[in-house]
Amino acid sequence: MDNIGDIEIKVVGKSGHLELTPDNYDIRQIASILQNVEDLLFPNSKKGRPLITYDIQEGSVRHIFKTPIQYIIGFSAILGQIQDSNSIDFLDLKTARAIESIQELSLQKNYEFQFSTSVKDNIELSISPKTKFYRTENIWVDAEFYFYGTLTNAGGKSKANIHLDTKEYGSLTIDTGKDFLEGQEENLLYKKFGVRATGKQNLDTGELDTKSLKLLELIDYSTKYDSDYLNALIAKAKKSWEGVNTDDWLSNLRGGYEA
Amino acid sequence: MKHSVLLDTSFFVRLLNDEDPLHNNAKGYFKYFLEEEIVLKVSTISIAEYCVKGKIFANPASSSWQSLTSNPFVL
Repeated sequence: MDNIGDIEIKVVGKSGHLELTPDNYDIRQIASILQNVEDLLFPNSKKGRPLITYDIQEGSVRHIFKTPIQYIIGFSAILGQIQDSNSIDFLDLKTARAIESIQELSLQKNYEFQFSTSVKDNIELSISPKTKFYRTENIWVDAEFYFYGTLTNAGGKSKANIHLDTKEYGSLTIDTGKDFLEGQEENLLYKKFGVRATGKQNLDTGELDTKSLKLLELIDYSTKYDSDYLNALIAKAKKSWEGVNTDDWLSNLRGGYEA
Repeated sequence: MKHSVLLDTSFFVRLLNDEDPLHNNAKGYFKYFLEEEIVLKVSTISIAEYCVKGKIFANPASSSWQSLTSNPFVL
């Protein structure tokens, strides 16, 4: 077996009254396919990914991608699973979005996209205006999140947002609205913040849709021990605990159950 | 690797009540965790238990709770 395999995406359709060929196929559609294929093959980290080479051939239009066979085998399995289950809910977010994008292109242009790989002889997945490869919306629910990190960017001409560099999720873009940024008197950049935000979360996997984040609140984030601040909290909180024996109270609350 | 610690309900009760016999222990640990940049985690169960009696946590959006989470707590 060769170390390099290939993926073919054959586009069947018409350009006006003419059969589709590379001569009448717009570069915008080529660019869209290239972007989607990168997301399909390497949805998570594009840094350090192996080389993917590209060729376009006639019949109608055939996009040919070459990359190490290991990734082709994985991709072929995913294609098979999508075709068999007729669903893309099991995919991670970027892969699902790439498939949705191709489905959308298919509807707009009345094209059929036939996916095949060098691993198998037959067409492994077909996306046409008749198919409906969209995520089931109801598995993505509204949720609230806390993120902690350094604010690296704030602004935007049409969409006002902040960029928060987090250890857990990398750099997150969070919509803020222009009013929020306009009202900030201090420079927010390169300071540590906690962010309370809403967004979509996958009910099955817990995955977070990082494109859906909206700011609820920016919280000053300081890891320094501040005894004045703690004492102020204690002064407010202790009234609730006057005369309480913590052990007895917790034991009673838990009904004899000790976590 | 950064260490983290899970704080139980009694920790918060003792930390926020300076008349509790173990208050100084809780405060000492709290100070130590922050100084050593140890991530402090608290479960929602502990928050719920605290809220049974502790008023300042009655609303997670209350200013006190926000201030507390502004330290390196992770919900």
